[in-house]
Amino acid sequence: MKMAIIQTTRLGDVIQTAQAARILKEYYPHIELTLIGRRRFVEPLRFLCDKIFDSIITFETKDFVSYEEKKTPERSVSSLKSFLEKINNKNIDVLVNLSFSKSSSFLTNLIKAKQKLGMSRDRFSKIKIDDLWSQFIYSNVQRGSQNPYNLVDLYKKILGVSFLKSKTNMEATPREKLVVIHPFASQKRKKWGHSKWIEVTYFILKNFPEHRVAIVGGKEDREYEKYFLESTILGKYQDRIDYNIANKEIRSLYLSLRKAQLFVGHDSMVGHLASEAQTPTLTISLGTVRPHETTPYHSKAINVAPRISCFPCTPTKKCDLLPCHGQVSYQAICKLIEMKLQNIEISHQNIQDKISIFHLENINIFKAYDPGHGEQELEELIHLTPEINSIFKIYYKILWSLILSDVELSSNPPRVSIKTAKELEHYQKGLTSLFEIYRFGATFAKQLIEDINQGKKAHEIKETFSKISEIDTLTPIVKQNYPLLAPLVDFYFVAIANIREEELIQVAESALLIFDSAQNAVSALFELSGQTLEAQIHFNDKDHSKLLES
Amino acid sequence: MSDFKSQIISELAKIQDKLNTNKEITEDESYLLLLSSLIEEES
Repeated sequence: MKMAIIQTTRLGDVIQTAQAARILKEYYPHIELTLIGRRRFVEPLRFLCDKIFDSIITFETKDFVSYEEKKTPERSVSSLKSFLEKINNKNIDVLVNLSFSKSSSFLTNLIKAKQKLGMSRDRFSKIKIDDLWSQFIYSNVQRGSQNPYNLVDLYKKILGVSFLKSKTNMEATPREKLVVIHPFASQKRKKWGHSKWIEVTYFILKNFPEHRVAIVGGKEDREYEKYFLESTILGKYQDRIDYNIANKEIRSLYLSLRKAQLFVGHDSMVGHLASEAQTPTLTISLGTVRPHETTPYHSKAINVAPRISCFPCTPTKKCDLLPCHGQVSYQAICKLIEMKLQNIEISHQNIQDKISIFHLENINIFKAYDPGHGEQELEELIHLTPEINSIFKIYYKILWSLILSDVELSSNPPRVSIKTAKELEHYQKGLTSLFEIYRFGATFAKQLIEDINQGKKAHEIKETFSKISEIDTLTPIVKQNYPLLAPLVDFYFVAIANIREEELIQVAESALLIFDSAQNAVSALFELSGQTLEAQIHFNDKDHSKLLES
Repeated sequence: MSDFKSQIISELAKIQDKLNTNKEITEDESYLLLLSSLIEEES
């Protein structure tokens, strides 16, 4: 079987795609796998991709658009056609688009394949997503804070290898007394100011006199290098700092990470590369970064995130003050680095013992682990009584697994505070309203089917049809009042939008199935929240009895 | 460059009506949409 994966976005996405594709190739070695991506993001990672993919096809926009030659749109289209012909000559059986960008959807549309997964276009050029997990990514990733999955796990689900682990056992390499720091990120809101990073660098060099620090970054980070070079407090330690900024050779960065004891940085390609090098990672997530989505995919990952209601934000939301940056203190990060370099386990108890409560109050520390089913989970290490956000993340993991993969995950009801229990009760009202809306949709979808079967004319069923459309005006109201229900509303909105049937009767039948599924999903969430509330009453009774006994 | 872009924009304007009125897009038009989205993502 011939399969091609489209990944046209950045370096980090290519690494995450390779991590998922590696598992597919390990379990199904007979699949002939092709990667299609942008040259500037794939070529630097050939050392990684060549081991996984049987063939790699790269392109750049300038291959088709050369302004110097004064190309016309016709000539550009002709270049594009030649490029696509090369791909189509491969006779691809399954095409998977993991990019979710506009251009990748048009590319997917134009590549011939027996089966297509991921975002494509229909014959009217409208967005078309046939598979459920891609609909989930489109409706939930990089939106809100409720996606419980790492992107690599989502890619694995689309590729059909969820719950499988990589069999690759990389040979353990001797580690040097080296810490690699990547103090930069693609956006200002995702990275700390340089002064905090200077403090962290100073802490390592002062307290670990045998250690070296490598500061790494891309060419766009060159302007910030001077802050480290000119820093007074780093002055006498400069001979123990290696600057590896604007080095195009990603393989040398990878080899450097393979030698390092620890990687510390923001969410970026370097963290994903560190996970490939099996180097422990400490990530500081700020701004739009969603720790559950992008924590480096390995079990040696620690992720520190601010505990503030606006985190994580969205790229379109304006923010000048960046309040989430102030939540994460450099002292907390320094202590975590100290623990890692002294081989002290990052656990709830050790954190309480080593780090002042003042530095812990405003952050969450997550530790990655594999609960045994091959997916990455993040364990919250400081605040053990989960808040409403974390509770819903647990619910959604159970729910999506059941609805999209038909896999039942078991979980004990989490113990919650009285405040969270009240919030859950509030959300149960929202769930009741949402259930009614979807029931309304199902009722009118049934009515529509009956009307069509009775041979009613188009003008006679117009009103019933418009009733179904009312769902799209009602669900946003629920979303506004109960923001944690947005993942559900958005998912079913995308599902309805992707009905592609030709005949009206088929459209009505598909809509009925989706509204039924939506009702089931809402009921499941209601039941899960009910179980948590029941358990909370039980815990309270037990606590009360203990109090009386004492 | 601007000349090339203006040609693309003019070609896209011809398709726009079809997109707005749910009319089928030809293969050549799909290529043009791919081209314009690639250019858009570069800028």
